[in-house]
Amino acid sequence: MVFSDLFFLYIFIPAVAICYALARCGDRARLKAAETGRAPRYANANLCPYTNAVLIVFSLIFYAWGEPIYIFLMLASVVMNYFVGLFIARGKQSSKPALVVGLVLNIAIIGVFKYADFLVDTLNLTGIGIPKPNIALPIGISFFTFQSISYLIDVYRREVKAQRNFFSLLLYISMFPQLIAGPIVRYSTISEEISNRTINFNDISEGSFRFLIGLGKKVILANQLAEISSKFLDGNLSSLTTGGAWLGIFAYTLQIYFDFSGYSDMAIGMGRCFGFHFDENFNHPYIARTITDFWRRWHISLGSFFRDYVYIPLGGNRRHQPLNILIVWFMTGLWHGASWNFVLWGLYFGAIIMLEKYTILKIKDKIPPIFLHLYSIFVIVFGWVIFYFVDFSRLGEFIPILFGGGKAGGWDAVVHGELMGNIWLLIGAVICCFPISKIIGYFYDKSASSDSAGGEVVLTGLKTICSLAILVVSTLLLIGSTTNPFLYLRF
Amino acid sequence: MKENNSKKYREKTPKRRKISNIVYLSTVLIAFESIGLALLIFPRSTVSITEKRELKKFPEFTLDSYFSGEFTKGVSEWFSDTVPFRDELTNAATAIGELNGFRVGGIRLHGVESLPTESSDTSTSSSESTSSTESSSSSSSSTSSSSSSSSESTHESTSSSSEQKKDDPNIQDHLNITNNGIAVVGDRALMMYGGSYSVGERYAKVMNKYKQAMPNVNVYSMIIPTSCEFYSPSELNGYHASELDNINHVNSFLQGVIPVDAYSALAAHTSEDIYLRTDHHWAPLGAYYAAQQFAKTAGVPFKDISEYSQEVVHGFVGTMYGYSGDIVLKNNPEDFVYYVPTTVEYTTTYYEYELSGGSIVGARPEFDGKFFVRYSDGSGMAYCTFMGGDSQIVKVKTNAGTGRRLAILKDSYGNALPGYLFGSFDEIIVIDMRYFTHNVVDFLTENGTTDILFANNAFHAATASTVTYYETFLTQKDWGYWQTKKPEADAAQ
Repeated sequence: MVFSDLFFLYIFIPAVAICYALARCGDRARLKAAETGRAPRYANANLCPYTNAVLIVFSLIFYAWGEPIYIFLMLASVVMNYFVGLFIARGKQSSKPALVVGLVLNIAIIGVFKYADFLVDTLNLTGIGIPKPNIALPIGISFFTFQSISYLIDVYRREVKAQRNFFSLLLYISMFPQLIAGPIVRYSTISEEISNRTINFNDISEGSFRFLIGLGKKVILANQLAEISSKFLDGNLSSLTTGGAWLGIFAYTLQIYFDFSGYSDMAIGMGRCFGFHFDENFNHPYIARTITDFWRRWHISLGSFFRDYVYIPLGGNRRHQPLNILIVWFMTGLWHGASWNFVLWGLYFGAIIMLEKYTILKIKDKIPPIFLHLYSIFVIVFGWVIFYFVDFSRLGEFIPILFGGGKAGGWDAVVHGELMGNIWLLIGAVICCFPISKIIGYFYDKSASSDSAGGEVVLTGLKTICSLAILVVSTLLLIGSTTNPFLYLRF
Repeated sequence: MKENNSKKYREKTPKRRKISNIVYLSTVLIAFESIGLALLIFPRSTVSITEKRELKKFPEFTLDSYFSGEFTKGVSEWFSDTVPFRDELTNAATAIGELNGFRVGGIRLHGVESLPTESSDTSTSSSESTSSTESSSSSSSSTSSSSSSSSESTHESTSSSSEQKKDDPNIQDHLNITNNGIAVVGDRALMMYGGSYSVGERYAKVMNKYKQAMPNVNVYSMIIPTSCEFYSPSELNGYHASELDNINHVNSFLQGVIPVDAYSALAAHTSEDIYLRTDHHWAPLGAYYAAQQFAKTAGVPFKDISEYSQEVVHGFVGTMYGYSGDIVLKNNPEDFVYYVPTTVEYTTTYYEYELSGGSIVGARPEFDGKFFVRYSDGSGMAYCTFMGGDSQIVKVKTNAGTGRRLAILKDSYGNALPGYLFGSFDEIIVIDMRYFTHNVVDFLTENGTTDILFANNAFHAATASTVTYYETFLTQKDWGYWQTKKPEADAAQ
């Protein structure tokens, strides 16, 4: 099941909302009974058992909807990490071996289910001829495995306590808003909220708004941009013009941002409605002035994962930094997919970030921002070229077309028609890359109306109209749309 | 004073914010629940008139279907596909898509790519041309699929197409053949011709085989140009091949087969409504001029259009809206005008096949029926006026008294022709190139056919499967439909 699906929106969400509201009444009644002494009260007790149960049940339904078999793999992973976590917490002697076992098992899971075919294909390039296992990729395995790894390491580092309640750990790993496409939520971020959380109107209001913004990003922007990008990038490259190549990859650049950040917005918004506060995963990455800055704004939860669990333990800036950067970016690339183009994509950014350390970062204050933006956008867009083409022969064919080396020339009526036919969509998408809400908030706070009731009415009115428009338009665009997956579901 | 007021407001802000949140949340929730309830309460759609297909069915639950993920996927697809008032809502979605930009020169392209250049001066050997045909065919289909996957709406029409093909092949004959997308020019949709010369030679040769197999029968080839040949503006020149070049190319290989110059007949009347704007077919008036040309070539009498009564289906929006999802076509319906002969007597007998998955699985008993089926205003099926479809053999007996008996081997373009020839031939047998279970030589010989007309549009004349169908008709043994019933009927008499 994906978020941008009418069944999810209008059957699953109402069902989970109703059950969650009823369960919340149950939690409150239980808490009240404990406060009035009619029921026992324990320190550190789980204060939301009913709501947690609802979330677990619906999370399992959500996952089983798309993966009726691999749900057992996910459950097995949770069981394994639960016991490993307890062993790590047990004492000094058992913690390190337990951590090693836990890491090996988690890496083995992702290795077998995500990279086995890739490994065999690579080995077969040497002519060995190993039969391909053809293992289907379980949805979200990269996300829930990384969350499990972060949990074990944090327990080992004594940054968090091991979760003794299996169902609480199951909820942390399987929680449907972030289960299949992130963000990679750290256990420490929500460990307290798992057992004790409050929800108020502000949470639900802000969460709903965030969810709808994400829905709009995915359905109105990303899905429509996908039509443009695949028109130019999936077709016959011999008839692709230079203009078509740029328009296609530009559309894809916007598409992947709105697709992925839309999913993160929906996840964060839903989490908020349930009383969880996930960390941000995107911070307007396309306004970055350098690639180093871009990677602080793009898929923040993945970047911080590699920083905290790979880069710094390897020595960070202190020891053999270039090697550490190489390893981290090799892994970042490989995480995105079991294909060499992703590795190349990761190394491409690793190399640029390393170069920036010795060049642009030292003089960036002296360079006009517009040039920095143009440089960053070019590098990012070119990066998406490497990312898009899994097939190296098509990648090799596409790059010369970008720079005028195609047989079909520079511009044609198809590109012109497609550009003009989507000009408002493209301009709107570019505008949405900027931090609009922050800009509006800034001017609103500065204006005299920020203190007036009228200002509040206008702001609420705008927010409401915007939300209703997104809801209605997204619903219309989703009718009959049966294949509508998020790009990051494949990672 | 102002400062005091400001302080007062600030103190009230949390309460105001809370009220704002409540107002916002209740409005959004009411809207959300209203849509959700509407989706549940109103009856679900079962058919899409726009896409001309049956919508998804609720999947059957089995353990296998569940564990393979097919069941849950099917439920999601069913829910999304069968939304109440689906056509109206998808039309609204299409209209919203129109706001994404504007049309340059009133043109919008759907899945159109520039064409690689191909010379008609082919000197390839037979085997080479066969292989190039295959690759051409496959590349065009991959182009078609890639272009369709590129857009939700086109993808939808393509996926619907494959289903539709099972049910209504009449309007589906362009989907598996070489095409280069759709250009909507003003309010007219043009299916861009991407035909290959290499198939043309094979197409000519298969017609030659018919002539060789039946030397005493007159065999004619009418390749019908499509609207993109006449109405495509110059700026789209690089996006479709020349149908005229390919027609001439085919004609250059004909041996004993007489070409019918439908091209010139149509070219002389392009200012009239000879093609449908919203459908991939020609208009009945275009068929009239082509039939007139054929009658002239065949040397048979031909009735003037004044001897027909004009019938009109208003508000017709044809297949091209479903294929392209272009709202301009939906917003600009046209009149479907056809002509029913009034000065000739005729009876029409149908030999109808039963289909499953687009394949023949049986045959219904023969029956007499009307040749012209009247569709109501607004129906998107109006082109099925002629014989109601394709999956059948149709015999029309007339009182023309010319002593000539015609067999038309055709695609759906050919459906519009027979009605103009009732005064020209004593019998007309209409055979669709996809649905025929007899050996064609035996069948036509038994029927005393004197003339065979191949009437296919330029797309099908450049499509390898067309050649395969016609070759199969020559070599296949009779499947036994209808003949098995005949002895019983004789015995009863």
